[in-house]
Amino acid sequence: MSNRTASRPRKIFALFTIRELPALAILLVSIVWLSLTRPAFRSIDNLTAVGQDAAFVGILACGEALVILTGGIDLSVAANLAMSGCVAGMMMIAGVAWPLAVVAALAVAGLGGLVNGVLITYRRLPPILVTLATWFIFRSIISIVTHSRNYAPFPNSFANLGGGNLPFVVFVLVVIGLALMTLRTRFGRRVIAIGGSETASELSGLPVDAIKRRVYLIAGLCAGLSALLMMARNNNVESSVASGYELHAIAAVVVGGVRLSGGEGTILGAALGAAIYAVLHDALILYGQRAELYGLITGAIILAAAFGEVLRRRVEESKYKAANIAVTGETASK
Amino acid sequence: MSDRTDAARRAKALPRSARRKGPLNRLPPETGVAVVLIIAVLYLSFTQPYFLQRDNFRLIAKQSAEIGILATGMTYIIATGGIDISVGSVVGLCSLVLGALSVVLGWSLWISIIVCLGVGAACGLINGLLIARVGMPSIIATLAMYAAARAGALLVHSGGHISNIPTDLVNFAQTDFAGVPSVAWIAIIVAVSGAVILRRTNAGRLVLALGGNREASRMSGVNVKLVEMLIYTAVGMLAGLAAVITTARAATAEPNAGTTYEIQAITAVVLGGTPITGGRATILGTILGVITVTVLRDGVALAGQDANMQQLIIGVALLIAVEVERWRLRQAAASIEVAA
Repeated sequence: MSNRTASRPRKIFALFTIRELPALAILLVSIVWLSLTRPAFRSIDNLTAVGQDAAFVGILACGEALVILTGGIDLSVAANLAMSGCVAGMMMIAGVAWPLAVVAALAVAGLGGLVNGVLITYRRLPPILVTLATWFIFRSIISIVTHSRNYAPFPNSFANLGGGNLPFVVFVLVVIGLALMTLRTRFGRRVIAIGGSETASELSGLPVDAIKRRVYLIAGLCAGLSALLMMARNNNVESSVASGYELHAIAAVVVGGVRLSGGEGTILGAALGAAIYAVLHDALILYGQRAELYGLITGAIILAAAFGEVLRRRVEESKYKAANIAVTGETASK
Repeated sequence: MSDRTDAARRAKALPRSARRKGPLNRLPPETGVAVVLIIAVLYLSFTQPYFLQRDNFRLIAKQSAEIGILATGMTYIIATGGIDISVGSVVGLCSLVLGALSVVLGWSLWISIIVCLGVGAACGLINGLLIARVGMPSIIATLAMYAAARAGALLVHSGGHISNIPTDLVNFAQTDFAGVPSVAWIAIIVAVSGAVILRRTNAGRLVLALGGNREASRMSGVNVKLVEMLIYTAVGMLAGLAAVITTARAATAEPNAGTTYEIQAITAVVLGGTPITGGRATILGTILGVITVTVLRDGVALAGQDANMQQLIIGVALLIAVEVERWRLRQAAASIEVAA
């Protein structure tokens, strides 16, 4: 009898251990709140714009999530985005066929990611410092090369890709692809294993360095993809594009319940985090506030997510302790 | 891990005499930055005649002031194993608070400065509470502050920048004391007291112990949470102080003040030889790091290049610094194993 009464609160607590739940709750609440108070939110045009915004940040965030799952961090993704976007922009304005420019942009983005990966694995430098440095290096190289010029307009056949729902469709495909990869493939399990314990993975014979290099490469490719979609939508590109997006991407990942030290979390969570970004960003505009104030919301949702994480950890710890008491009959000494 | 053992094996392969004498094994942590600084100064003195002028040195001293103050605080945070990426944004917020109080509301300058320092300390206290009490990773808590403080600056004064800063403050930035700009004196005082506290007092040893082994410090009766909270609060206040100097030098308060200061400060600390993993720190190295960053920026400006090139150089300098530090630690690890 007593067992049955005790199980009810425990079930409620068990909900807290679902890592994506806070993100899903914030997203649903803000969507319901906005559609009730601001009818403009429900218009097709607005929803399309929100979907596009979610796609640009979301694709970045999915790559970033993989990096964070391994226990690393990549601060250079937005700079990489600007670098590869500007390369494609320069080529298109110079008259190169746009599919070729697209391939070149992805190659540059992948190379940027690989540079991070090589510095981090081969030279064993801390990811936060390496990507802090490459953030500056990518951004400044492309500013110097382009003289901070604006490249526009692009061929219609390319620019048309950015309108409508194509960015969002690509985003969904990226999420599905990467989510299946982390959940269903050997590579994905290894990524999560490295984040759980790098030493244990290395001792079990996993090619830790090769996996990390590939993860930073994928984060770079995601940045390139995001750059191309953003260019197509805006129909212009310059070296300062997407500044601050590394923050939005990391915030999305953290809000989505991915543990910053790696090993726990999902791509879906990161995607939900990006959707929150897009919806709340839209809310600021609908309420006639300046977009710069978004920093306050970013700060608040990062904090909310971090509090959720602390709460979840406490619940899990107490569960672990309870289990321990049940097995050994005494509290685990701390 | 394997690197360390490799280095040890290589060191062991050396003849005994070479192992014992190996001067590289006993290099102080400041070596790397000192070498970079000397090379940069020599190169610039030969290629840029203006570099050796007295006015240029005064400019370098002035430009080093804000970063010197922030980097001294950042050294403490990195010594505890944390990181603070919000200082640049807090400088922006405090700068606008100072401008709004002293110009828009017409408060007296001194009270405005004190409130400005207080706002900085409050931001630092929030960081400290989140990190020490709530137990958040320092990068997440300060990332949130990085975003929020910059946006908060716009709430303080929505019209953007504020000019007509009180002339007393603006003139102060132009004055000299004993041949050195007054603002540089402030940085010197902060850095020297930072170094003395870290090296010569119990408090400093607590900071290093905390970074070396948090759990062991806690079990030895150190109030770990309090120490951590105090450090973040003090760094917030230093950001307020840096904001006063920035506002005085620019003669305007603007929300974008202090952009990239956090990166320059972190670069200076790492360049100076303080390991990012915590437990050890050198303020002297940090100050050399600050001067190196400023000299490199100055050199780029003298060579007629723009801010983008300065960013590129800082990024490359950071990478070199991290690489040199890793190499030095390997040498040290090898020498320890050889000795044992």
